[in-house]
Amino acid sequence: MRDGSTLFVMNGRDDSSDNELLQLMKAGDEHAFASLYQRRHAGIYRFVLQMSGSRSLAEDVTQEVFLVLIRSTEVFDPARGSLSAFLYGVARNQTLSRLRRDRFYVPLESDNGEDEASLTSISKPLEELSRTETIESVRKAVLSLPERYREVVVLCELEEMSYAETSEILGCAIGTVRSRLHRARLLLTDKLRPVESEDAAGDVKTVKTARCFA
Amino acid sequence: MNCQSFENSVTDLARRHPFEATALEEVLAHSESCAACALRLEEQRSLSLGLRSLAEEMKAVPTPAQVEARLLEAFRGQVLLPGRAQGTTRRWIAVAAAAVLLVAFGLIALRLTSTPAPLPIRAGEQKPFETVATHQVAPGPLTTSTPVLSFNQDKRVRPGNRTSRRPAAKLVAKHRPKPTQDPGLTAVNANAVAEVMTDFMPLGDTSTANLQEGAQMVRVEMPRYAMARFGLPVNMERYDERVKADLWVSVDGLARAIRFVQ
Repeated sequence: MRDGSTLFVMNGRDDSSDNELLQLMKAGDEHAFASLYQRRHAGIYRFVLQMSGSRSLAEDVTQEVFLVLIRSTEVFDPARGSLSAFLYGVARNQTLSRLRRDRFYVPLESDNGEDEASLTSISKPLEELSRTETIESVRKAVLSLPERYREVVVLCELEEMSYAETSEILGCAIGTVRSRLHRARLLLTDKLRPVESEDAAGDVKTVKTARCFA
Repeated sequence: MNCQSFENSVTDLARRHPFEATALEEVLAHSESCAACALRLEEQRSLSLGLRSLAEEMKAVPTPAQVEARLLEAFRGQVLLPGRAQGTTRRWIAVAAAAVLLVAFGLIALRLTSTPAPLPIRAGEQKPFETVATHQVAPGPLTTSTPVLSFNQDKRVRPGNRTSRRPAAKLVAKHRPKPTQDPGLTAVNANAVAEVMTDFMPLGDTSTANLQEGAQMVRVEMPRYAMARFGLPVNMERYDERVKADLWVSVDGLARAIRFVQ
């Protein structure tokens, strides 16, 4: 705990590295912890929210991630990776564990594509959808991806991380990240592709188009 | 460039991943010449646009403020209470454990050094033996395989002279104090050189558990005729005289072995 006389130092802490802040935090510096939280919490919260689609779970996991940091700082080894990767890794493990345990998440689309129409609910070209509808469609499509593809999309596309950063978080090779992302984008394209069914004659006819989503 | 090569590059192209100028030209040239690949590129660019829109949308989603408040509270609690308190508690537990061990060892040592109370004797009953001396030492070997010696056999006990032992006797021997550290024992050994004694003869259960801890050797006097119960020859003319004997008394106060001394 620091007294008020050291508060002015806070302004300079934006330049401190995560490890420096962590060392201060280990020494009991509350402001160092607050700085670390401010620096990392948003990404962690978004990651969990986009992985689970649940705000309450995102809140719980975000809190749990930083509690891990508070209670067992010695668990993090700077030699093995960055603090950011560590935090995302904890968040990922917690999220997947919760998702598997609670099973509250009901896939919006099965693998055989039975619910494709209910997922996209697109009966008109995507360009006619409003921006909000487009975002909602993409969000649902991302949530419907299998976990291994979903996490790559969230990290690479939504959190805009590099392949290297993503591979560090996921603990896999960069090539694996690339291939999973490629596969995930194919799946997303299929899920978001508008489907026209049942023409006027009543025949089931699926027309695949590739139009702009935005 | 063929369609397969284009497929390998289309994701990075749609994501605006850095490309080499020549590779980029090749990819774009192929997309212009191949309608299917051009459609594929358009799909991927549309997807990237949708994902970027979602990412922008998500950036505006705030983390609930109560999370930070709870974490700061937890941090203060961790710093002020559990971290140091746990360390303090552990230290106190260690100190308490050490104290308990010290007390336990002290009690054991006290018990080993104290003289046991004589065995109770009923009123009107002839006193079977009298305690002459007590030594907290496991006595000589408890041997049943060797023939019991009578007083007529001259067997002088010498310090350090060992005979074959049972495992139980070996266990006792491990806990036996060194003779030089016990003045009483030294006196006994000095006297033992001049004494003639039989081997120890078991009295009841002489298992390891009974003899392992706290066994004491007690010098007693008892009627000579008691020797007859152990198959030793007794001069009937002196049957009412008293004879010395060493009793091996276990921690529960029961005599476990006896040897006669002359």
